[in-house]
Amino acid sequence: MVGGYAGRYLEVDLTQGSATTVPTDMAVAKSLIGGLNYAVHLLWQRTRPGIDPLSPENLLVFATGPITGLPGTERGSVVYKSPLTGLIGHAEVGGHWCSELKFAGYDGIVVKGKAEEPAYLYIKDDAVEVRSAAHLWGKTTSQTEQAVVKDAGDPFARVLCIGPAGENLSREACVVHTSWHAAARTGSGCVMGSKKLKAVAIRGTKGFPRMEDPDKCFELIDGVIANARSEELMHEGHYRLTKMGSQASQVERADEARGIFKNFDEGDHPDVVNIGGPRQLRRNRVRDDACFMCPVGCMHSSVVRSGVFAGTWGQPDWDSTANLTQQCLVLDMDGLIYLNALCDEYGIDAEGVGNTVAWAMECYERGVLTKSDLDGLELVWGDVSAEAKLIWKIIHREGVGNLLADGFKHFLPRVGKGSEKFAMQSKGCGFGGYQPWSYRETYAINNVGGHHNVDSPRSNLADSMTYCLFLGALRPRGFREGLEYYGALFNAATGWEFKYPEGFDLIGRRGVLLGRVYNIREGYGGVMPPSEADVYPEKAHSRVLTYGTAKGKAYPREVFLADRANYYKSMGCDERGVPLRETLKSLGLDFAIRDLEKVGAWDQ
Amino acid sequence: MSIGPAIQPMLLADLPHYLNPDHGRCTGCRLCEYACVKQHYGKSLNPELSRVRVYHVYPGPMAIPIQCSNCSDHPCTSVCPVDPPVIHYDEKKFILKVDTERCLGHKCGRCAEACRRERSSATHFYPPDHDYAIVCDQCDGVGPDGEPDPQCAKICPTKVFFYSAARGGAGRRYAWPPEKIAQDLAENFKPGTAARRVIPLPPELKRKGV
Repeated sequence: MVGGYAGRYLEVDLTQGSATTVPTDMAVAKSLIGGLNYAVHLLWQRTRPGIDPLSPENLLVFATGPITGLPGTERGSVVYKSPLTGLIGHAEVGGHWCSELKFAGYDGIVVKGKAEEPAYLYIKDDAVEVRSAAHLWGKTTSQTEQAVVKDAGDPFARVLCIGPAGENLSREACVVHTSWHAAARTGSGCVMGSKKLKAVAIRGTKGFPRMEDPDKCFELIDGVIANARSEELMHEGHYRLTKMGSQASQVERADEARGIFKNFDEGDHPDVVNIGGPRQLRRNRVRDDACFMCPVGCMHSSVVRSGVFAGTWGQPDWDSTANLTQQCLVLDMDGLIYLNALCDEYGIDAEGVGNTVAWAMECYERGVLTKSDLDGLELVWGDVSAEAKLIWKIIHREGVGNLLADGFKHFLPRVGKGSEKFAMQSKGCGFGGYQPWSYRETYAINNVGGHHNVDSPRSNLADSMTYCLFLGALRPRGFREGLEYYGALFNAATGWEFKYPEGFDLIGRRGVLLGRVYNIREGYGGVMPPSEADVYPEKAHSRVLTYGTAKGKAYPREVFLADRANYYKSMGCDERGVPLRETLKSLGLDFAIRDLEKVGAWDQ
Repeated sequence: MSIGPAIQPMLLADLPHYLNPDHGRCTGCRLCEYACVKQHYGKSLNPELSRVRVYHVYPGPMAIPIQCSNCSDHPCTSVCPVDPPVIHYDEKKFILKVDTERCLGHKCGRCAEACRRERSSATHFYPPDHDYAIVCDQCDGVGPDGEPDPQCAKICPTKVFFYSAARGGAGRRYAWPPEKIAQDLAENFKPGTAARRVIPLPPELKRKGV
C-alpha cells in the first residue's frame, strides 16, 4: 500500500444494515489524491444522473486524504448530491473526527440506502455496528455527542452528528462534531437526516498508516511545531489567529470595505467594533480550542456573561457569524454568540440561514413579506430576538420556516415579486461574508454555489490532500507557500514525486473541472448552459457602496462578465462554461465525455 | 576566614516534583500526545501509545489533559497482584514506574481499575500491540541539564504543563477526574455556566416552556 493511505473505504448500506470494506482505488488516488476529489469521483461512478438528493440512492461520502492524521492536517470532506442546490454538495470539517477515522484504518466512509428507524454508526477499528438511535432522535448536537460517548463507554470516541434541523430535513442543515466543528454548507445534515442516520461515532486505535519516509515527515512536522510561537511569524499576522481567530475579520474586512452590512448594502459600518474580535477576546473569551495536533488554536470559546443570553456558550467564528450579524445588521456581541450557539446546537448552517434571514428582513422592509406572512414576526433590521425566532422556525419547519427551510432555489420562485433580485445567492447557496467586488467572479462560478473559497485549484488541493489553509502560515523557512510545504509532506508520506507547483496545479484543475462536469451531468441544477447559472443577483451589480472605506465600490456586470470569461478561458472551458473536449482529454477526464454528450452539453 | 562550604545549586530533580497541567490554558490540540509517543516509541504516530491523554468533556466541550499526577498514596501500586509489584513508586525520581516485562497486561487491569474507582480514571492504559500498563514517567525524571525535562511540557504551544503544588493541598496529592476539572473551570468562567451548557432557545420561547 502506498504510504499515508489506509487503503480501504468502509461501505455502509443502511437499508440492509450491513457494512463491507472496499479497497481504495489507487489509480484514481494517484490522479485525484483523495478527500474531496476522490469522493466526487465516487459519486460520479456510483450514482446515476438526475437522482433526487433526498432519496436513498444518494450517497453520503466522508473522505480523508493521504496526509490526514498528521499534525496540522485535520480536515475531511463530506460529499453528496446537495438538496440545497441540486449540484455537487461539499462541506469540510475539522476537529478530531477525521484523524480518528484514519486511525481506525479507513480512508473514508460511503453511506448508501436509508435506515427504516433512526440509527447511528459505531465504528471501533474493524468492528462496525449500526445501532438504534431512537433515544437520540430529537436531541441537539452536544446532547447527542454526550449520549453516544456514554453508550460507547469510551471517552475517546469521536462523534459526528446532526441536530433537529437535519432530522426535520431543513435543507440548510449541517453535520456537527464536538458542538462547534461543522461541515456546514450545502445541506450535508439534510442528506444525513434523509437517511435517518443520526450520528457516526468512531474510535480508532491503529495509529497513522505507514509513511514512506518517516524521517522526512517528522522533520517537516517538527519544523512547523517549532514555529508555533515564533516571534517573527507573530509579527506577520499569526498573532491574529492565535489570539482572536477568524473573528478578527469582523473589523478587518469592514476596514477593507468588504463587509456585508444590511444584506450587502454597505461594506463598512461605524458600529462594527461592537462585534469585533478584540472585543470578544477581552469580554467573552474563556478558552481557546484547536483541531487535532494543530499548534495554532484559532478557535476561541466565548461565554455571554449578562443579559437575556447569559450563560450561553459558543465558539463563534467569522465565516458563520458574518451572515448572522453583519448581514442582518445585528451589531451585538452577546447576540452574535447566542445566534452562533443556536445554529451549532441545532445543526444548521449559520452562513446559509443568516443569508436567508437577511433576505427575509429586506423583504419585510420592502413589503414583499408582511407581518402575517411571517407568522406575526416583526422582522426589522438588527432584532436579535426576531432573528432567533425565525431561525428556530426554519430549524423546526414551523409556519413560514417550512417555506424558508427549503433554501433559496426552492422558495424564491414561490415568493416571487422581484425578491430574487436581492437574494444574495448563487445556484441556491448563499454568499459568504465578503463583498462580491473583492472576490470577483468566485461566488458565481463556484461548483457548490456562493462559497468564497472552494473552487480555485489551490483550495481544491487543500480539500483533497487534506490540509488547513490557516496552518500554512507556520511553514518552515524556505517554503514559499503552504502548498509547497504540504506538497513536500505529501510526497514524503506517499513516496510519490509530484512537482511543485505544476504537478499539484494539474490535480487542482482536474478536481475543479470534475466538480463542474458532475454539475453539467446533473443538468446544472435545471439551468443550462452553465453560464446561465454562473451569475450574480442583480443587487450585487447595481448596488454602489456609500459609507467609509467602501465608498464608491461596486462590481458592475460588464466587469463581472469579463472576469468570468477569463476564468472560463483559464480553466479550458468554452464561453458557455462547458469544459472543452480537449481540456477533458488532456486532464485525463475522458470518461466524462460520453455522459456530457448524452446530456447535450456541447449542443448549441 | 572561611565562610563555610560553597552553596550547591538546588535542582528541581532532587526535590519531590510533580507535573501539573493548568487546564484552563489547554486548547486540546493533543501535541503533548504527539511528543509523548515520539519520546517513548520513536517515529510513529498513534495517540493510543501516549501517557498523557486529552479528554474532551462537557461542560464545554473542554479539553482536559490528564496524566498520572502521582497521588501521595498511589492506590494503583497496592493492588498489583505480582510480587514484587510491577507498578511501583520510585522514591528517588518521584515517579511511578512499570516493569513492562512482568506486567500481566489488560487481562489483569487492576491498577487501571483502582485508578478508575478511586481517582481520575485516566492515567493507566493498555495500548494495542504492547500489552502492559503505560503510566506517565515524566520522561524518566531528569533531562540533560539535570532538571526534569518532560517532552509534553516542552512542545505545548500554550505552556499548559508546569511544576507546582497539587490539588489536594500540601503533602496530599490526588488525581481528579476530567469531568470534575471541567466543571470547576466552567464555574470560574461564569457562575452557573457548568449547569447550563447551552441548550439555547429564543428567550421568549423558553418562557413559554417550549
